[in-house]
Amino acid sequence: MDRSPLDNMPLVHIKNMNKVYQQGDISVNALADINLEFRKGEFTALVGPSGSGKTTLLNLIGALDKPSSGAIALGGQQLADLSRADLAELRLRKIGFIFQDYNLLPVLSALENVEYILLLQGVPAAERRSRADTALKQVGLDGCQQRRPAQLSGGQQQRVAIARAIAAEPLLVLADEPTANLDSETGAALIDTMLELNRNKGTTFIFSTHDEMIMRHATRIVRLKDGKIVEDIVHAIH
Amino acid sequence: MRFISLAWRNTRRNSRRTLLTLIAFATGVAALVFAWSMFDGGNAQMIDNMTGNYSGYIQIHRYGYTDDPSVDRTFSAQDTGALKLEQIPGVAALSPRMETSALISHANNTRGLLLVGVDPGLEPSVTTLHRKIVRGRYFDKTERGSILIGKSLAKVLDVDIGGEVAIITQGLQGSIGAARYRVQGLYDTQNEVVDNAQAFITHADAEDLLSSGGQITTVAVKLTDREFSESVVQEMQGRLGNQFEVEGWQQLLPEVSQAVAFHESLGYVFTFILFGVVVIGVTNTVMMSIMERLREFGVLLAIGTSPLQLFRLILYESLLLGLLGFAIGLVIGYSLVAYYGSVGITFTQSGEAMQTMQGVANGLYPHLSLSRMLFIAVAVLIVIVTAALYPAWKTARLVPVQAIHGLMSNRNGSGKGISSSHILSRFMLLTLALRNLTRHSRRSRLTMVAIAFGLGAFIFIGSIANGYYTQIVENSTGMLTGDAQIQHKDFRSNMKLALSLSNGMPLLEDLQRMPSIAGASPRIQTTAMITSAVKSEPIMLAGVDPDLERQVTFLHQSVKEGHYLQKGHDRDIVIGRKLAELLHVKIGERVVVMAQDVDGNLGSEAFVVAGMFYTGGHGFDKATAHITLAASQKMLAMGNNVTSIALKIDNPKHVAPVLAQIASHVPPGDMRLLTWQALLPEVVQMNAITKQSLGGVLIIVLLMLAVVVMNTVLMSVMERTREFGTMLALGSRPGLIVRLVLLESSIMGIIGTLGGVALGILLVLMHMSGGVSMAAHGVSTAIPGITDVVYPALSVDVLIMPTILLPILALVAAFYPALRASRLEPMQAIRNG
Repeated sequence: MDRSPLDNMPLVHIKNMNKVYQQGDISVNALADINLEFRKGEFTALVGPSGSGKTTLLNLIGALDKPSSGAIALGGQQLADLSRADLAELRLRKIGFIFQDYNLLPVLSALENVEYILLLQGVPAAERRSRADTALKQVGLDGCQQRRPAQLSGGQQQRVAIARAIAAEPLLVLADEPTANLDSETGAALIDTMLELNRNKGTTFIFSTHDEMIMRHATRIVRLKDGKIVEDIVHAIH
Repeated sequence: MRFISLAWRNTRRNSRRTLLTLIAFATGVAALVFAWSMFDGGNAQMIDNMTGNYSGYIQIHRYGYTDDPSVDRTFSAQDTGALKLEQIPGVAALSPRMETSALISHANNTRGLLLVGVDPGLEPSVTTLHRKIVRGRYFDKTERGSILIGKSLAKVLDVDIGGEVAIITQGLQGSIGAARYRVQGLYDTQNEVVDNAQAFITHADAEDLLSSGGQITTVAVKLTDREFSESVVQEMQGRLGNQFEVEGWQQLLPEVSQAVAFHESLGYVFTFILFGVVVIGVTNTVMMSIMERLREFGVLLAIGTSPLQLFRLILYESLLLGLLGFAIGLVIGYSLVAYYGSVGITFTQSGEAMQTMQGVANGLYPHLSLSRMLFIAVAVLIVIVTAALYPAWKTARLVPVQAIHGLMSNRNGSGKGISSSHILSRFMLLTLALRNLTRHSRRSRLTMVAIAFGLGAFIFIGSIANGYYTQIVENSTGMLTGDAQIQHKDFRSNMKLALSLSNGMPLLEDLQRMPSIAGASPRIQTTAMITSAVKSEPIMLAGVDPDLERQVTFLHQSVKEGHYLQKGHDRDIVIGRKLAELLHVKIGERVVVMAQDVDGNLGSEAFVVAGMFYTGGHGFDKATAHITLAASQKMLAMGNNVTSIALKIDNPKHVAPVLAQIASHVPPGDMRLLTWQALLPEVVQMNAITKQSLGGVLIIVLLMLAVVVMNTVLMSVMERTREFGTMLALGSRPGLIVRLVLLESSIMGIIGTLGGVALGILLVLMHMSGGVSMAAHGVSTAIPGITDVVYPALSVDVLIMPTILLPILALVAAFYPALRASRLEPMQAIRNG
């Protein structure tokens, strides 16, 4: 991976971005005038009450949605310039996703779910197997490789989702309320796993949460309210 | 009523699925309405036309007349007149008749037919023949010395209006009657079989000819409506007592009543296939809509809805859907019926075969009766309830708490207990598709069963049709025509002995030397009258060389009593068993054969019945007799000439080059080589009609299956919106999603098709040895070689088209759902999935 230019440049650059949802005659300003930069190696929590725009912001960064105005650049690449197929390629190569409802493919085993992305990237079978296996071990799921999602607990499923997100070694992992469906103990353990990956492998994480305990683990906290950034704190050390 | 309104709103919730189900249902109903209207309209036309041409709806005879229509079984018109039969409710008119078999001739041409003496004043009130006179005129009230004949018969006899014909017949008490009549009118009923079978004289002339003195054989009855047939028959039989037999049109025209029964059983088979497919499709849809709403039903149950109410809700939903589909289908079907009912459907390609379906020669006018509509409505109702019963029952048994969590009471977590194998790698897509299919195995199974059922039934029916046709061809070529014949180009149409093969013998020797010809048999064929001590019957007489004939046809194998002809035994005759029964003759007894010789003189010879054959084709067994070639040449003054040479070709698979080779041996002039297809055009055309009908059935079945497959795939795609959203979010290309969905559908299509092929072949194999009895469905005997039992035969035609088409169809049907899945917005799909 081409590292040097990225070290200086922000990984994500959001400039004057607005997102308006049209619901019938009423337009809702989901995000208003957002200017943000995320650098490599950050471990950022997006916090704020329901409807503050956290998920919308994550979706826009992840190229799953398009802004109403303004620009987003990912690794120096303007998203607005890309076609649907290019965006799919970008998501595949550069972004890892973790969802609130895990969203594993139910017909695939834990290992196969992790392998799925590598398969799409065209990684040869043997390497794929070993990388997926390693990723599962990193999230503490050794021994669960052959189980299907229905045979795993919620915390275990979310760990599979993390493994799936990191196996392809993306620039950026986006996690939308990854602990919302988990009890606080399991949630904290999950965040610790992510933090460990952030420290050991330098993976950049942006996740949304409204759990005070979890947001304390983050190195940076961006607070949203009614679609606007109201606070942006960077913890030097925690 | 609350449930009805709730049900109605539910059906409108998923409008696309509702629409698809409605299309499936409406297409089925419309096809059914139209098909039944064709059958019913055709049947009604056929019955009205045939009863109107000659028979009337009811006939009264002396007891035993039908089995043995002898002129001696007569009765006095005064006897029946005293009973005031015309006053029975439903009777419109009566016409007394005197019927007898006779030979009619003009110049050198002779034909056998039924001669009927009618009362010119009464007959027009019962039949419509007087309206079908195309040349000349009908009888006036005091007409004497005139005859009415069919237009086509006039052509065969080469006679016109004002010309004279001679009639020879058997009168009462064995007397022979002969007279000459002036042709007064020619009629055309559009049906040559009918037109050639009868001729009419006045009752007064018939009394003179037959010395019958006021006696009659028949009273024909016209009814105010066909529906009264049964009640009137009963009432008349009661009044007349057991000295008489009273028969309705079903007995009078067995071939018509058989054709009606045949068409109706076709209709029921069609109904069965169509509704089989529709039931599965609708069950599938209802099941899907329930799976989707498990949570809702859980809540409904939790807040106190009783299981029975839930059961009713599901039934109402299906009923609404079904009735709406029925209404739409009815409107479409009825519009088609109304349109074609006024313009008619013509079968220009199939004219001659249509001759055997009397009454529709000028076009078939579909007709939808109220009772038929009720039948279809009841069938639809049964289909809907059947289709909804299982899903409704499943829903009523839901456990509320589990249902709220989206679980069926008997459902385990998806994929539980299945350990995943390591066949990932490049088979990933296939693996995904296969696992997705087994995930909702009930749905996939239902869809595959629908495909298999439709295809299996189609293959079976196609095989029966194919077997039926093969049998007709084998029997009619094997007993009658051979594979091909050489004869004068005009011989087939007018059968004049003068149109013989003058140099037949050298040609025969020539043909016998050809290695590709298995047999060549010289023949003389002519119409004749056969007479026993009690009875005369018109026949088709064939003079054959016993040894050579064996090489071409296999009639000798059907001889059940006595033996076939032998060379040199020129006094022997072999006849059908049915004919022997009619003539009351046994093996070793004498019969007299009368026929016109080549110079137009009436020749007659006495023969001894040496053998009787039984082919199962009543029409053939009743009217065929074989004598030796030498005997026929002598009797008909033919010298060494023959009328035709019948040929058997060594390898029937390679007929074309052989035929070309034979044709080159046929001397220039008026001689022609005619294949069996040319000799039996009605068989060829019947096959064409069957193929067209099968094609129609195939199209409708495919259409229904397409809707079922599309519905299923759409269901499965919509259910997995979130999954597709995830796959897209993770970076799968839209093309991959399309491929996955198409693959899933293709696998279903292929498995369903294989199942259908297996089912069809199994059904065929099961009936291969025993055959399928058509006796109950009344197969017509108008064509030689048709028997009661049909042995289904698989053919590539029946198998290959649907087998190729179905998987393609599954692929095409899945295209729209696949495209939809690939166009999902990942974020929305994940959130709303």
